[in-house]
Amino acid sequence: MPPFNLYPLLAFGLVNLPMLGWLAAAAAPILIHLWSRRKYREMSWAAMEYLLAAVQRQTRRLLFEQWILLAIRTLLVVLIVLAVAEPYLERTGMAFTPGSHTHRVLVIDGSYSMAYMPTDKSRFDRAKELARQIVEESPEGDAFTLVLMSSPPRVIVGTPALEPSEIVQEIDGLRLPHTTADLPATVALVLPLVRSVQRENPRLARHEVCFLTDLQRLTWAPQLSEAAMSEFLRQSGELAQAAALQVIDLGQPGAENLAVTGLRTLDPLVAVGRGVSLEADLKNFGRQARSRQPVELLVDGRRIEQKQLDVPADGESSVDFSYRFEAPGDHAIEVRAPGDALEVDNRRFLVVPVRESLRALCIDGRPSGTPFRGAADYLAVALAPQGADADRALVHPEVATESALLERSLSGYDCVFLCNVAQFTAGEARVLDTYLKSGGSLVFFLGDQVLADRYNHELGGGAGQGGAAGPNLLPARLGSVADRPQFRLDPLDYRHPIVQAFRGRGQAGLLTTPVLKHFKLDLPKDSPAKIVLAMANGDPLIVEQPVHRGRVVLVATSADASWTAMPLWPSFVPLVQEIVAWCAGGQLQQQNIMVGEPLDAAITAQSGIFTARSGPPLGRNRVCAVNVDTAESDLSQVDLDELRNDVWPGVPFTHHTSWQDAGGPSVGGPARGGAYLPVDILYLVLGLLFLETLLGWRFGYHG
Amino acid sequence: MEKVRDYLDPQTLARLQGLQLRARLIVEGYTSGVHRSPFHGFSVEFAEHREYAPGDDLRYLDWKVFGRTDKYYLKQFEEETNLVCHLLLDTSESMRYKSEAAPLSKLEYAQCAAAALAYLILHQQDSVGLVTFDREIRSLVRASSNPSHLKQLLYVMEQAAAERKTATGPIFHDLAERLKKRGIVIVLSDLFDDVDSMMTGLKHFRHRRHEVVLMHVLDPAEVDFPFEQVTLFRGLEQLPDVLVEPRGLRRAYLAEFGRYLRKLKAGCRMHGIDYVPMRTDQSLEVVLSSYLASRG
Repeated sequence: MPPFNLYPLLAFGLVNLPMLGWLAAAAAPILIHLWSRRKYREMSWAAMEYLLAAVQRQTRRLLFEQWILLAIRTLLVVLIVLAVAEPYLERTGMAFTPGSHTHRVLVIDGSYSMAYMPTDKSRFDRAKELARQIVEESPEGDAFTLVLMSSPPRVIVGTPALEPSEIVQEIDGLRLPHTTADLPATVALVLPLVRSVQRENPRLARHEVCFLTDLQRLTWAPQLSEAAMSEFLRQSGELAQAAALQVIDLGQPGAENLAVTGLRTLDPLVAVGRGVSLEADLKNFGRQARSRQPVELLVDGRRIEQKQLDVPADGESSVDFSYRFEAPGDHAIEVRAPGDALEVDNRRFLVVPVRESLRALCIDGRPSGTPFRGAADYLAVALAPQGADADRALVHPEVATESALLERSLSGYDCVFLCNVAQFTAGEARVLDTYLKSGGSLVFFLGDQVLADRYNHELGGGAGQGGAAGPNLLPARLGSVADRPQFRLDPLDYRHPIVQAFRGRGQAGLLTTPVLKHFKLDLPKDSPAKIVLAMANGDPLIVEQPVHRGRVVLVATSADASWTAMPLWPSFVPLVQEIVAWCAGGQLQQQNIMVGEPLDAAITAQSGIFTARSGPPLGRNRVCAVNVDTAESDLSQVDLDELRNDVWPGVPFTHHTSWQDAGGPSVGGPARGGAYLPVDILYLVLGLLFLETLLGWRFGYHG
Repeated sequence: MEKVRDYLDPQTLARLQGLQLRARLIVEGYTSGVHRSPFHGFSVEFAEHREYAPGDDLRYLDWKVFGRTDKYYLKQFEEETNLVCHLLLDTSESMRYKSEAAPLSKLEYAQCAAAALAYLILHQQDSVGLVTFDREIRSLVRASSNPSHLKQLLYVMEQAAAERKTATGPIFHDLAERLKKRGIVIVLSDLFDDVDSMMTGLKHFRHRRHEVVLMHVLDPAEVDFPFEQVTLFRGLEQLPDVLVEPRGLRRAYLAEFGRYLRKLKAGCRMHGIDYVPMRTDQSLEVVLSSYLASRG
């Protein structure tokens, strides 16, 4: 409704104007008074002389008292109607439209760059302070919702909160996650939020979305596909139509930052008593070079070593550490490069499972009493070339027949080799699936007994028993048998870790391994499977794929000498060892994740070393390292022109560097922004009720 | 005995027919409670033998006693102990008023009181007369001590119709001239009249050496003004009607009425007049007995 000007500086308005119709009820006290004057009783009276004298003496006073009481009663009705009509008083010229209350969506940037501390307060603390200020200085009747712009974004308060203390409590309780921020997802989240508030709270006629952010480039200039960008712009435009967008910039241009961007072991498998090489990457996101930057190595919380490193401006450097683990189990490694204003990315964590030995089960699909005639005999030797009983043997292989799949518990083995197994039953497929879910690894060697259709059916996601889909364990579908001998292998530029060790070691003979027969492997389109080693004609020889929490390696030929000379070749032992190490290394990868990735059932929002405890009945602790995405460590900002032209072209918004600048009601508190009057009026009604009772009692109308 | 006490309640009396019975019951109740004649207090002079003292009138010496005992005693005269009481009953229109809370109208209550007093006085062989009046004397019954005189008094009282205006001042002056024999004058009225004029009349009685007792009969509503609803008060005795909101006016009315009562009581005190307030919701026996007891 248009405001009614009381005087030049104030505007008076009503939210529920139709309620004023009830003002007619103000006539009720007058009508009741007149009715009571008409409806009277009659009686004879003897002491009339004194009554007349009293009337004569008190007529004016009585009239005055009656008028006073009538006026109070009429005013009571008027005020109650007015309170129901929800009046407000606002200053003209305010940023908000008089006549309505405002719904403010406070979007606080939750990316870890907000942890940057240029002074004694971080950007996130400053954002929380500003959010509190906005809430506390907004006029009464304004409502607030709160969104944390992280990845994924989270709605903290989705129902508009009218009580400032409630929203302030939520703001105070906010904790900065160590994630990045997803602006398109945040816009997609806020848009329906604003719409639902528009729909359900018509009283809140105006909407504002306040982004409290450091305008970091990673967040505000997201690299999106064309379709995603178009969707983001569409949603941003709709949001700007539904609400006024305000971007409050809390960032500092030219902020320097150094981050530990990587930490890894150079050996896929770490064993007790064997030295392991660690490599940490440092990246300087600033314009000033860092010389003699201290870098510390901590193992299980103990400081082991410190090195100094020069990191060029806007450049990277790496530092190596070596360490020998003396005890098996999960060990937490941390590399620190302290000394800048953003502490979160100065630490990198790694959990290394240190193994005393590995147990491998070799299922022989064609067992033979004659040495090296069975399908897994060469393999067993390659796994433990020094003999399985040797003291320092890392791998302890056991050879068994197919029945062991159902008879033995696979959980005790780190890796299961399946050599020339003709086919699998649905029960066996389920056992293998369960084994992969528990983190185990499978290596398939094929052979003349293999029934490709049965493999594809039982292990390749085909229909299982009763029509239900079976597990999909195979990285590739098995095709026909190719019996054209191949005498040259393609290492595919040694990209895969399994064959990386062969780079520059041609004498190992990997590339000259003759393959007489092999199954053609068909990799489905968009399959996550990777080809480790291929043949000269391009047919994959070894493919791998992570399945569940384990890894599956499929070798297209046999593990014995019937289809290939590979078991006889000098490259076989190191190849098998690399396969085992790579399979076991999968466990290491499982224990090193990024912030926001699932850690068992939980989603981590903080970086650091965490222990996931599961059970009972089987208590199990799993140590995990959770690291931040260092893309967020680049503190460069988008400037206003980029924001206007590249991020939100055609989307109206206002950019401010403070809430005062944004025209918020910060000076003089709520009085500056006017007032929401119903509560005050109801207090007045209460006071008038008390006055009416008091006067009625005083005038003799009550009691 | 208990039954007799129940009848003494004015509300119970109101249910009974006939004034004679009412008065009799009341007096019986009174005498049975006290066990002595209540009218000792009403005697103007007390009869006794008194030893002679120099200066006494020798005409009153009891020579018979002197002959027997050779001592001088003064003789008491029988005829001087005979009390004459005049009951002045107001029968003006205002006496007709009876509120909802009251069991009797003021006139009925005053009639009961007058009947009870007459019964008492006659019972002790004293004389009692009755005057009914409004703005003029309506009836006048000469004082007599004959027990059968009570019937005539009650009859006259029953015939009284409250219809006219009061004018107590001239009436009292007139009566003061007419009632020659010194005695007790008991006025039973609501006294809604000009206080100064009324006091002048009463002063005339005092001047004639009458003892004056003012029994002020009021309805409880007149004293408390308990009304809540807007009311059209219709004036009795030709006074105008007035529509008022009683709750707002109560305080002012009570102030006016209190002023009137204070003036009335002050006048009574000044002229040695006994003032006996009577509310028609009070038990008549209690009012009468407490007053008579206070006279000793």
